Amino acid sequence: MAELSVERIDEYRWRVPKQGGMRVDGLVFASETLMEDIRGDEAVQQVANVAHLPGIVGRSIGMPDIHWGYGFPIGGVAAFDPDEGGVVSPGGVGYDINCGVRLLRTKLSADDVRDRLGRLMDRFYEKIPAGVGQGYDRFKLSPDQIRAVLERGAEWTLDEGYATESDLAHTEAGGRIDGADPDQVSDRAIQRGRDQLGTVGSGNHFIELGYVDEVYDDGAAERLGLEADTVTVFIHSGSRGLGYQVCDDSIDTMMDVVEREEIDLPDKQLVCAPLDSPEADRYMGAMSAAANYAFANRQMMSYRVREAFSAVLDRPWEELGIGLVYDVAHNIAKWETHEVDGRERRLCVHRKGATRAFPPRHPELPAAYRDLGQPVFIPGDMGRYSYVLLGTDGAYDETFGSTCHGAGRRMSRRQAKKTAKGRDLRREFGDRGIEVRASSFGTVAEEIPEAYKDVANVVDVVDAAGIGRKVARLRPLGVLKG
Amino acid sequence: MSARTGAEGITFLDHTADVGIDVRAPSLELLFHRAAVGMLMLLQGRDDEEVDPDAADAGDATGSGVEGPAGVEVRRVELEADDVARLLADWLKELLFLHETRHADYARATFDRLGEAVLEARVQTEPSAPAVREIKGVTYHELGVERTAGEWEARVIFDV
Repeated sequence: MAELSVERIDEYRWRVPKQGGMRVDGLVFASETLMEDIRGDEAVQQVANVAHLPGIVGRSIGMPDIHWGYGFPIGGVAAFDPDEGGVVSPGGVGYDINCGVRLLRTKLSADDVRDRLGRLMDRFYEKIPAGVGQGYDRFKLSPDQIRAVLERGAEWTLDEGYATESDLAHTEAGGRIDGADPDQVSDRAIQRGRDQLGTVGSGNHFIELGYVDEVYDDGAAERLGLEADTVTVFIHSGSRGLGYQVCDDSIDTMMDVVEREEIDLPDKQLVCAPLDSPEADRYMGAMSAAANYAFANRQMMSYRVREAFSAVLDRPWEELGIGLVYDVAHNIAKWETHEVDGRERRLCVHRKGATRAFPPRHPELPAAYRDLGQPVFIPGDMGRYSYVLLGTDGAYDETFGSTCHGAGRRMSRRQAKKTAKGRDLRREFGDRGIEVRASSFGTVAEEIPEAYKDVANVVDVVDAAGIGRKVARLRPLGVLKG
Repeated sequence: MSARTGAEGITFLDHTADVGIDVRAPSLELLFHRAAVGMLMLLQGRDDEEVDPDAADAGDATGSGVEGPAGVEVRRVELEADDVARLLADWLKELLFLHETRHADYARATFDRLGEAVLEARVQTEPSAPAVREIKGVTYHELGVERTAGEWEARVIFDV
């Protein structure tokens, strides 16, 4: 393949002009320093590859935390118009459908929990299965229950007493994506999902107890209940094995579709189906069902977090003010209306490792945030900090209302393990005031802070480029890993 | 991407975001066996250990259902695919599914039939040790199986 041409537009924007079979330009948000890293791993080539797909409109977009993925880069956004032969691609969503982040806030300050941190984290560890295959025997859904979860997402958790009306109001799409079709979810996916609802999983998933350590916008932080020193809980997980299986099943199906439709792809993993095909309908039905499972999954874990706080602080969680700030996906494809080339169009927007970041006044925002913009959560690594942002008009105009999703790795897992070898990680985190609980310290070794880029560099780019607005920074006090 | 040999015929590929294996073997049976062992080593976080992947390969997996008190079971796996690369991917997906839903680790297999498009095997599994790593999927990215000068070679990248 010929060397890809990339042009710098300004301090934070890089254009990948149409070349070869690209149908639209690529646009990457990055500082010069981040761009050096990004160029190292073929991610920009993947932005260009996505631009080859039929019916793509606007630009193929890469966020500052972009890195190499399968077919689609992680940190990529692309929108497709069904009226222009647009497609849906399971690789543009990823294996972990509706992987996402939610943030809970409390009325507690960091000092209120410091002396009980160990007990709180122990309780999290006891109550919330983390890791691979451990503790899954505690909660198994019947076939009827899992069907209800797939159809109704977080609404199911409300009926079962695991959620409040306010939780649902503060979840993307109310915690339930319309069009979910459990009949399109394979038996195999259902088998994988039956005993995993309310589990964290492994890899980069986590539950993190933290506090607001810096506020950049007092008014917005107050509205979100995130004043300085407030204790918070991040939950980062997705649709678990059920979602992975839905992705797997659909990639197999779409390999045949690509052959039938004679779609020319620069990478096999970009397999897709025209949005007006039955295969696309089936995928959207199954993917939406898996997304609903993920909303319910994160809600179940929120319930357990509340229980843990109640038990350790010996007060009902309502008195502790444990409310949901917001819950947002960063691996999903959704039908949305956006203006492209001066015309409102209904598009299928893929966000893979990119967070929806809708601006103030968008009708999909909860009433409480309508004038504020949508909350966006950008977790960093286990040891440093994470950010709370708000969606902006800039994001709506330039990135189909999307922004970054995390720090991005700088070390492979093996490299990280090698770096961590011989170190007492539990003690190291302890020295930094962070209590770590994990089903395996092998995972912690792979996830050490130095394995990740500094998330501040990523967030500074989106803030400066205007595709997100910094509100607050959070620091960890305790982390539960798989 | 860097690489490191962790066991006979298995090379672990090291990528910033994900992991993969290169496998070499003198026969297709051994290739499929070694790929399964490689994936298991990744699940168990043992990819930095030196092991003999073929050590468990001498026996014959027979019978069906639960065998013996140790929780060792033999399961029948039948697969068909358009080509040998997809067959290998399907094989690993099958083992991953057993690992996740039955909490069973692949121990060894007896291949009753293995061609470039069909696989019939009896797979012996044992209760799985706690995995340290979750493999979300067996991807088609750079997936390939080739036969060169009397040797089979394969590459598989996993989403972790």
